[in-house]
Amino acid sequence: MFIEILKFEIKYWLRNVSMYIYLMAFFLMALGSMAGVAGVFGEGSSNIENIANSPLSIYNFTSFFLKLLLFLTPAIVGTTIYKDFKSKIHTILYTYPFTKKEYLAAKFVSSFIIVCLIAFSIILGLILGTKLPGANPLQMQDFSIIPYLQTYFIYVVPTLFFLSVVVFTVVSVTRNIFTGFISVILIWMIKEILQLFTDGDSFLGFLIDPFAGTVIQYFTRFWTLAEQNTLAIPLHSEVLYNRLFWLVVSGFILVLIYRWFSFSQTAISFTIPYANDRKDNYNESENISAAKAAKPEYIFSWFHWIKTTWKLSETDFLFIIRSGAFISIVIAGTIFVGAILLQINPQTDTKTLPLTWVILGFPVFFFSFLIQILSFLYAGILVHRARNNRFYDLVAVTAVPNWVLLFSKFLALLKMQLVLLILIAISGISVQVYSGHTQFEFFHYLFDLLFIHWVGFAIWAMIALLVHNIFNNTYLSLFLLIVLSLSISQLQSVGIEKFIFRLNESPNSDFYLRYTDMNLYGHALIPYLVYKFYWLVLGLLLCCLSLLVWERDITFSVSERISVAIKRMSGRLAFISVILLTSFVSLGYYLYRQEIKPENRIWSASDESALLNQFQHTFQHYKHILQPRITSVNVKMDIFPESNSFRASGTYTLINKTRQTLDTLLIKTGYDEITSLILPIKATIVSQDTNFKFSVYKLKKGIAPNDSLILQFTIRNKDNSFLIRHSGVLHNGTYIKSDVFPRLGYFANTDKKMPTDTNVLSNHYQSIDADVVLFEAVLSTIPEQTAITSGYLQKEWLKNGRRYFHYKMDTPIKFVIGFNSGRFDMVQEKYKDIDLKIYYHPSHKYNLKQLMEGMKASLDYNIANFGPYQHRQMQIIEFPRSEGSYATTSANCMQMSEIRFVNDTTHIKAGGIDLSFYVAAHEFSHQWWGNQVMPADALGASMITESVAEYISAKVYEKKYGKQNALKFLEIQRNRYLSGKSNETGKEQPLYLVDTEQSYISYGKGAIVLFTLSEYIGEKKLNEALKAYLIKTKFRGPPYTTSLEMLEFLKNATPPNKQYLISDMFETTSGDKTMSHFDHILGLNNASKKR
Amino acid sequence: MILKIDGLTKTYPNGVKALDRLSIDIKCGMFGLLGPNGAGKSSLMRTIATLQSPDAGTIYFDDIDVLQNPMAVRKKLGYLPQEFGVYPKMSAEALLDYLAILKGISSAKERRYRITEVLEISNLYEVRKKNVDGYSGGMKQRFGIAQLLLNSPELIIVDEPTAGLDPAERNRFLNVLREIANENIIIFSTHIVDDIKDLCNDMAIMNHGKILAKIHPLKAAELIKGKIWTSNIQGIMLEQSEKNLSVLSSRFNQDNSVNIRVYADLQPSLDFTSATPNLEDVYFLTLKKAI
Repeated sequence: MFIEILKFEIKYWLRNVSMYIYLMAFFLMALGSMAGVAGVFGEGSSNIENIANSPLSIYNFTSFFLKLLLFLTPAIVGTTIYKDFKSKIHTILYTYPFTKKEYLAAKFVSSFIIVCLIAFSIILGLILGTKLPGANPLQMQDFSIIPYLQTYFIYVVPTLFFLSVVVFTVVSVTRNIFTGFISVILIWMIKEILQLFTDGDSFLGFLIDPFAGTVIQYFTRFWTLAEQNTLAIPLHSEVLYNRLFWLVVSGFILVLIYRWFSFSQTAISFTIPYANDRKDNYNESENISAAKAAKPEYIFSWFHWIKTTWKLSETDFLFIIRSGAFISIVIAGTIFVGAILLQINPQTDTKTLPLTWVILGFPVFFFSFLIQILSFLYAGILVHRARNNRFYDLVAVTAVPNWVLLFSKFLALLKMQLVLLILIAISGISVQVYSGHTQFEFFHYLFDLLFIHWVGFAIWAMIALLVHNIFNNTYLSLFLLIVLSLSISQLQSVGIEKFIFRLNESPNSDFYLRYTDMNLYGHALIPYLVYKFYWLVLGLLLCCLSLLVWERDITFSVSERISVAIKRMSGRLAFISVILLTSFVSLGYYLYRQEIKPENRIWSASDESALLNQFQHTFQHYKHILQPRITSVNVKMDIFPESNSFRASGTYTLINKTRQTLDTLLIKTGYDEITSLILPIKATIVSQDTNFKFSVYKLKKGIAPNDSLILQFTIRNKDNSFLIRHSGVLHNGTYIKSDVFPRLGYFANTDKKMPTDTNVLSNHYQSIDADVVLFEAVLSTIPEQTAITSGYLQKEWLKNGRRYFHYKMDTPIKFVIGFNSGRFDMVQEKYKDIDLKIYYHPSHKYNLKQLMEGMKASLDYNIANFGPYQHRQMQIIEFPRSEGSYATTSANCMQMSEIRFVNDTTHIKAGGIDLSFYVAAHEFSHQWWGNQVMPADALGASMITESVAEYISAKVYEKKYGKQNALKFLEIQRNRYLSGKSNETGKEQPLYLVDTEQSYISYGKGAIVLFTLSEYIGEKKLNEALKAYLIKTKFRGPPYTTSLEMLEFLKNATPPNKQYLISDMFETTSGDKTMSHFDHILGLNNASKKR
Repeated sequence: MILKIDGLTKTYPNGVKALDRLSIDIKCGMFGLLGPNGAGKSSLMRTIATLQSPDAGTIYFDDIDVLQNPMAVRKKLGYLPQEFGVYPKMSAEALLDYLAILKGISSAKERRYRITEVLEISNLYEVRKKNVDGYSGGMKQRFGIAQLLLNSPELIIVDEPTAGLDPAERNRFLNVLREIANENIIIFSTHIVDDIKDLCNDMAIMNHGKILAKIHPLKAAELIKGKIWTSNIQGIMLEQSEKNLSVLSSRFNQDNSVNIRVYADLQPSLDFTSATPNLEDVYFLTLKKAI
């Protein structure tokens, strides 16, 4: 009998159209993805360095599609078992002469075969994707079937087996197909939760992931590009144990289901059994008169139908939230969110305070996905519920209009979404209470969740209702919806960049708008809302479509359904549809016009590099042309926070420091600014590039050697459009950088500049047009704000309702200057005769102590080891995270992102990293290493600035928190280095030739290298060498110093028997050797600790 | 009050002609629609109940064009489908409340009052708190009546309501139905002759999508008075008799002889005795004539 049932079931699927849709969908998606990465659709969509069909790439593709298969498994496996219940044929079938074993085995095996078959279409699609004409041969390896089969049989099939077993069990037991679907969501969530509680690099962590993703991820995480391109996925024993473990679990479940399953006619119900009284209390004699009672009042008004919509939605809503499935998802979701918010992951080294925006930012990705999936699912259940229960005929013959039925479902979905959104708020507030955080921003919660997010989900609900109304097959619709939502996120990569074509998306929002305590949602809010409104109009239009295809009438063919739809397209519905369509199209057209405006264009990285190539091609003959140097900068800048704009004017003094007369000026003005220049000498523009705002001026009369020239300029930012803000000016927390000013010279020299090349010694690493400059500025802003820039405050006054600040620096500084304006509070302390100030957002008091201590500790260490600090003041200025999450140094200022102001300091006591302290120490060290020693613009420059600053920070950290914590910190640097290395698409440079972009080397490896060296030769000795180097090169340039010069000092300080350290760690790329020297240090340290 | 059906035609995609230029007028009172399985009864009922559209033809309920203006007729319509289900885990009261809103009873108080009323009529008041998906077949059919009464319908359609009920349940159901037959049109379809005999004051016999005869159940038998003959024959003779005579029905007796009823103007043979004609004879005769 087994074979007969098996054959019958497989034939059922082979005759089922939906299976072919699934097959084709997976096949085409896999084909398209592989072809895209292989460059079939032209380059740009993929990283040219990646081999498209490397084993790792095949695995990555497959595991992506496996996530989709996760949602398909219930459709196949669940349907196979459920269809017998649905058709009630089980009442007959279960009396037939076959055994339970035969029945269950045949059902399971047949559905599992079908699932595997569909999964195999992914493999076929991937293989064929590499064979398409146009695939870039450079991104291809010779075809080999082995990695495909390995991926399929080791990762795909066992995972599907486990999933199928679970779905099969759940559907057999509950006799409800949707619980199968819910169970895969739960598996996924439980997996995520378990991962939060376990170490990703522990055996347990490897074991508990039923997809074996954790273990693969662990073993491949530090693979370099070359390794990623060539190596086979390692078959470590951990992988096999994982596979074995889940096979055993699956087998165990199968045995259980076999024991439990009974050929009875009723399902196991997990609800409380209700008293089911079938006793018929018929009483013949009673109340004949009732029939003649007065008729109630029947009302068919608009108001009644709106009321009805609400009442019906209530029934549907209660149905959703009372179901065990929904409740279990909500419980798992809450645990997950709570765990994330409490940041309990053992791997967390730093913890952010549970501020409201932090809370709202964390779970959004997870919850967006969950809310979306549940909306898709329940839209289908609600649409088909009445029909599945054969209740619909009773409803269909009432006078209720279709829109009442449709909108009641919509409303029920909205209520469900609301419950989930409120749940985020409740979890968030609970976590805040638990963490002792007392600033509750209820309005912020409500605004963000209900106003910002809910709209997007509502639009998805409308889309889902339409799809479920069109197709009767709930699972097919569900699958199509998931594919739809996934493919929208891929639209950009296939060249559809306009937001008006990307369903339910809006500019400036990757999942959520970047909220900052300082500047709230900023300029991004309005475009976000306008686009959401645009999609909402489409959503309503889709609702009209839903009404057309709403299945109220019994129809017998597609053509009949269409004719019913056409018949309905009349009167009010037609009128509303036309209005909505017109609004949608005209709004879309308007937004399209906005998006294509040149000033609103968002350049992609590939656009930019193409433009730069073109520029370099046209202007390369100016590359080495000599320019006068800027020697003094005097600016006046008026900041207008309320209109996000600024006006500036100023003068440069340019001096010809060369030995020849210069008659050509290369001037690049700010990209987003409108700049006008006044030269004291008559000049003509001989050539120009409008993209980069670059002009070549020919002076009527050249500048003689040592002669000077005053360049005057006025600048204003381009008018802001509603899509884009064209200035760095925010309502609060403005941070304008010196790139708004005109700069001199050929800026596009992207050559790798070797430190051995004497030409490179003429510029320092941060500017090509100035050495150090005299700086003076007058800033103005609104009275509530403080404006800050480099220099010492000379005077502050109010005039015409604006607040003015006059700053002047008494020594020349690098022309790297920031302009800040905000509503700040300030703390200050005098330490070693130096004024230390912190300008901070009034509510961000959390890390002031750490920041202040970081500055002091850095001062202590640097003064003791390297000499005096060149200014008498240092000020930290906070800027919003929407502008970045970094910190930087410029003369007597350190601009620091707000994320450094909101670290959870209690976590430090538990062994966490004190990032605020550390970053303040690091940035302050740049006053010596960057501002006193100014390296030339050559490879290796950031070894002198960043590696040394990281080393000093580690030492400062050690003094404050002990060696153990410093080493822990260096372990993080090691991971930074290793993962940076695996993402490297170019060439890994030795430390002394590190490229500016390669922060994984300059920071990660650099910190380890110098720290290790100090352990080998002694901290004192190393610092003496560094000091000698600093004294020799202090404020020097041109010629500026290079890493070669610094390396000489280090070599001299290193005894001959340890010279290998220099070559191992500085001069070669061998990361392994560096790390083994570091491991040696760690080993010594552990040994001494044990003793 | 009159329901006028004219030229109703429906062919399903599989080629079955469910309704074939069907025309009939139905007046106030209990109207029985009798026909074998597959006669097109349910297609006709669903079409009148605005659930499906015909290919051709018109239906008027008084002056409402049912096909063009289904909403107008739905306000006056009560429909009990041949087979229906309910949302699980909902009591009769809750389900009726759900449906009462759909049927336009806006005030909660009036809804409560009306629900009590229909529960009493259908004799379900005692079990109103019980979940309907746990009801017995008879109770569930009476729930069907309760729900259709909510909007005080003028046109009531009950499609094979007694199928599957045991005799006691069937009686109770028919009693309830009889109770509500007032100033309404009630169309009652069945393939059981007795249902009609007990209940209807007007009836039609339907097969192959056509109305074969529209007759009065009590007067129908009058027409064939003296033309029905009965006899007991040997089982093996049945086939031959059916060939030669117009056999309307046959029932095996315990001794393996067969009692047959035959339609003939004259006594077919001496073995036959005259029998009192009944509705069943009319029904079978009508179906036979149509062949």
